[in-house]
Amino acid sequence: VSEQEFLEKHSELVFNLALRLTGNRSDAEDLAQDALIRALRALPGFRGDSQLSTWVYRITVNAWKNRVRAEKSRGFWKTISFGAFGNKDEDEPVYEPAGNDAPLDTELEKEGTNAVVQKALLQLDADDRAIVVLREIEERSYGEIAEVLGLAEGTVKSRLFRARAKLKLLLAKAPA
Amino acid sequence: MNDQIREKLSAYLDGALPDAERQAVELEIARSEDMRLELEALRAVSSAVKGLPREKLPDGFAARLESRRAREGSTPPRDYFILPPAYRPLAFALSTAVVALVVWDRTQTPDIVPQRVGWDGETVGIKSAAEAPPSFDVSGRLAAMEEAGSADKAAANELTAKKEDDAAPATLGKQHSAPGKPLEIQESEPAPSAGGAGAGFAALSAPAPADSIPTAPASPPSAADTIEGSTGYIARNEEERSAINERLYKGFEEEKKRMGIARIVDKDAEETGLASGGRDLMALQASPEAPSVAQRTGSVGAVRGGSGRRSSAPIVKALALKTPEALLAAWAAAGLAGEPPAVKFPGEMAVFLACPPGCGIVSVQSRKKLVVVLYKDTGYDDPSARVRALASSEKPVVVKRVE
Repeated sequence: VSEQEFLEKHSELVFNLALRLTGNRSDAEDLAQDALIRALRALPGFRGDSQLSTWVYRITVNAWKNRVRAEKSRGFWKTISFGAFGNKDEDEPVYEPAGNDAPLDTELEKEGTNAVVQKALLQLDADDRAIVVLREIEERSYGEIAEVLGLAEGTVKSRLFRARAKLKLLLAKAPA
Repeated sequence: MNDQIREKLSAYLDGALPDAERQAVELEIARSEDMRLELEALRAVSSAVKGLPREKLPDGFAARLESRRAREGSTPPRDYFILPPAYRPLAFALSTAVVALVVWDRTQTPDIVPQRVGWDGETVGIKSAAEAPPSFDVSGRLAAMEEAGSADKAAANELTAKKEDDAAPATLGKQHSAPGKPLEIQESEPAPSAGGAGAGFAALSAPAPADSIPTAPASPPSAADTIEGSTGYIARNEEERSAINERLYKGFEEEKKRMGIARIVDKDAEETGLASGGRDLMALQASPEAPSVAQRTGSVGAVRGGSGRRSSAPIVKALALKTPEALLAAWAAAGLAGEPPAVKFPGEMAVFLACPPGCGIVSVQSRKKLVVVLYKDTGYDDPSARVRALASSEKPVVVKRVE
């Protein structure tokens, strides 16, 4: 497979997966580019042990999980440094979570159900979110999901059930 | 049973159950309204997520991707924030070791030593005779010498003498490295293998009236005059013992001079031969019962040679003495000959410069808030340059060296 063919076939697939994992277009584009560059770099060594699409999904999900971990580390060290050495007011503006009547909800109302569903997805933890997206949106089998995430098939099955149950609760709580 | 079936609803929805399990789930759904509602709810969730639209690539995606590829080259992007994952176990092990070391250090019980205020106002510990280290135990060196063989006795004696010359001032220097701190000279515990040199110094430094110190080279004879070893005995004659003691004594005297100590008085001795009853000397030897000079005079200035950092250079102090007894004691403590200059107590006080031999007061300036004593190293000892009379005051005294 040439690089050009690979990009034509998988760029949109990777971007959509990234979009559902990150929840916004800007981060999705960054993650998709990151994953595609990694995939292109590793493409000559691809042995065909799995489907090319499964392989690309795995690269994308791993790149995303690495980012999540790195963000958590940054958040941890920021908390430590601000708490120990600095006045938070002087170092950065205080982050205020949006209230119930903030513009975010207004936007959600405009965009309707899709935005509510996307917001609920973002509240799942990394593996659960990846399982739901790969199953519901990318329509991958349990075996493929297990291969992408490096989990046992039984684990995928039980976690998908729990993730769906959690989504059910989140969507039930969401404003109509 | 219901919980197990409920867990299988999700897989049933995806058509991922084996036939037997699928039939069991279908039976339960047909039988239970709750199961049916649960299945419908899961199906609704699944449909909602499936309903998220697929989106097209943003405009210019391919161009930006190519640009980024060119920019990043073959360098893989960094996924970690601080340390590569491979180094994390090592970092964890190192940090754990450091924490363990700190905890261990904190759990060690420190030796509790009594504290008192020294001449220059610092707090210093006081050691008893039992706590003092065997500073002059040269048994190790003598054992090495012994191995060299008794046949080469003359050479061995020379080696011992040289080492003792090197070691004695260094050991003394360590023991008295903080001028102004309490001075303790303790008798070495003669080890079984300690030879004549060790015993010789033990005689030198044994608690006794200070006047006995110069006579110390006449050390007690006994088995300590020989070194017992597996190959026999190394005998020392009187001349050799005297030579060793002489060298030790010389080093000891040099160290005393360097420290500005006139003589060492046994703290248990009742008779010091001084009009002050030896109270001022007590500060030098730091008897726990003796009030410090700083407390008694109320005004002591001190300067240490070199920079402001702590060093082993002798400390120079100026004492504001307000009684003739105090002046006499300080005079005697400094080992100065003759009588101190006349001072009209109590209207006047004596500013006394405590320093090693070869220094003298240049001038004393009584300023608004303090008394400044300027001194310099003259290179010769002029006792009268150690004292200046000044109108009595409570102002603090500071010392400044001039060239």
